[in-house]
Amino acid sequence: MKKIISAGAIPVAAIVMVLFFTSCMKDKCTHSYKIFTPVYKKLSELRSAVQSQPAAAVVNTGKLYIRDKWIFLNEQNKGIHVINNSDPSHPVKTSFINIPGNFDMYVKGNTLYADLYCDLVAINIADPAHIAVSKYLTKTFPDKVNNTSSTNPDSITILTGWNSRDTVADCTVRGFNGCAGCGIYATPQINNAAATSSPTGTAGSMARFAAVNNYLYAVTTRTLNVIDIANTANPSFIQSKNIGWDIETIFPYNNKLYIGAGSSMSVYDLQDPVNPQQSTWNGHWCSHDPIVADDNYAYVTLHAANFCGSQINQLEIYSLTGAGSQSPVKTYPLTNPLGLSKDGNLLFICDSGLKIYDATNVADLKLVKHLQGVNTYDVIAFGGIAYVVAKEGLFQYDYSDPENIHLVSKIIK
Amino acid sequence: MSNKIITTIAMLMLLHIAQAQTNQTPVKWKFYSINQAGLLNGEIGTAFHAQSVNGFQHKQIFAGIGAGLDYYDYRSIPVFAELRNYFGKSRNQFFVYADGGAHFVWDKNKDQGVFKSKYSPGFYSNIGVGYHAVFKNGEGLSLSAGYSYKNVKYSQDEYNFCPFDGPCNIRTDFYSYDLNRVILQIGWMF
Repeated sequence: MKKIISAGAIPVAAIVMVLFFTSCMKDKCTHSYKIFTPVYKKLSELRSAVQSQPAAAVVNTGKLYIRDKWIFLNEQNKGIHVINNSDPSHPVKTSFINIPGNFDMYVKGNTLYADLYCDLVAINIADPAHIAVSKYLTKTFPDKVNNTSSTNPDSITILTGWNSRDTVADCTVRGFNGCAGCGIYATPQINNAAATSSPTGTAGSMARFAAVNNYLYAVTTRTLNVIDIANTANPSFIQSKNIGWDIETIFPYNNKLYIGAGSSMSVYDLQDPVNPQQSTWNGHWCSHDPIVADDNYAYVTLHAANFCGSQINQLEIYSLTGAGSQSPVKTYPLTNPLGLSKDGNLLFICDSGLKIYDATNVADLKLVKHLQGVNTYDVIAFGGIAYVVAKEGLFQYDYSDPENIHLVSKIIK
Repeated sequence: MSNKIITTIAMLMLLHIAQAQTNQTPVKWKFYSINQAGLLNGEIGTAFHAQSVNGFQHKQIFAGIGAGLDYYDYRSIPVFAELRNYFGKSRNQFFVYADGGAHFVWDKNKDQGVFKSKYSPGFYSNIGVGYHAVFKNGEGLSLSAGYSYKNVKYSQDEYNFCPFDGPCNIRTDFYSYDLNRVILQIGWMF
């Protein structure tokens, strides 16, 4: 009897012990992250930094612009590498144009137009090693300016960067996975510029600048800015047209502007070049979408936008024969597409490397080649050379013989 | 504290093995499989737990390796080594045990949109006491209770909204959870 009582007491004792110690059990969470504090500079100080410098190392590749033998490669937020590409197999970095806050560019004649934080700056690049600023268009991209009505560059302050320090803290709210430093990204939504196709040069599909005839069109996240560049050295601001939100890219073709946004692809007609009018709008859910076009079709890559959880990664092809909203003629699943370019029947897409398709029949694209091993961002296919900007650097591929597409040269970090 | 307890128990068991090997030869080890299920209880509530430990026993020492499922907070798969020391000469015995190893989070939401979590293996341990009853056919039933710890580590990549400024850079945050639980489990040994 005593033995039975003793054995029965054991599980009871175990349960009591568990219940007793449960209240002692506390979990602990630590969150390691960086705290950022803003760094501001006066616009006048930033302007004074615009100058030619010796060729510099490519560190943080940005957008690309091709004009004749010259390649202009953006160094994100820093300026532009000028590369002499007379011999594509041996491109030579000749100089670096220091432009703080720069992401985009366009070249007309001997004038380079670039964004300098909130300014559009016109620079004479007749001699890229000795540039001269022709004009600043103040606050062309006002999103980058702290709230101020002043136009005095000594009074305008710009958020130019962040100082960071490592921090370890307790996770204060269980179930919410952090983001203690997220607020830093809410401040300045970057608005940039870049170049597009013109008689004098070609830009990539990621560009935010496009020029048609004597007008430069630059998109911000919400507006389409129209700038008269008839007098190349003395550009004049015409108007800023509100065209929606989350605007990302602009591509000019056949007297139209194709504008990619996080939630739509729209076409603006340039019959009145100072006042573009929307002719087509096609919506989609939360995907980045650079665009290129030819005579018959617009090609759009939808890239899943991480910040809203979209998982759409695909190529959409729209017919340009109709008007108003349309459904795509055909869609193709992709992995993680970004920039694209089209030359003749060849369609180039940055997607887990570089994919080259025969687009003779848009209803049945045929993969010609898949070049892997680089984190591609944008491509310009022009004159038998595919200029590919990737996280690793700038790559040039010869596609004059589609059966034998091969690497010609690379400028890597 | 928990590390000291584990170390002490492990040393006691090793001492016991050494004594057994010194005093009696030859050493005979018999294979056993211990399959247990139970509950984990901690700050955030109660969760299910199951494991299978397979190893060999000589006299009063059992040593084996195990794997299981741990549903506390983050579903994970613990993989560990176990040492058990039985006390007494009767068929029914008390025992102490210590598990130590790693666990691997079995991510339920691999696609998390904004936040992409990458889990790393974390430390896993479990120590406790129990009572073991052996039936005539040699199989046995056990009940045990103790303390269990697992560390969940992961990083989260947070994307700048930057794809149209150039190739994107990613900000990474690191998280570490120390999860302390009491454990109650019932097992079948054969």
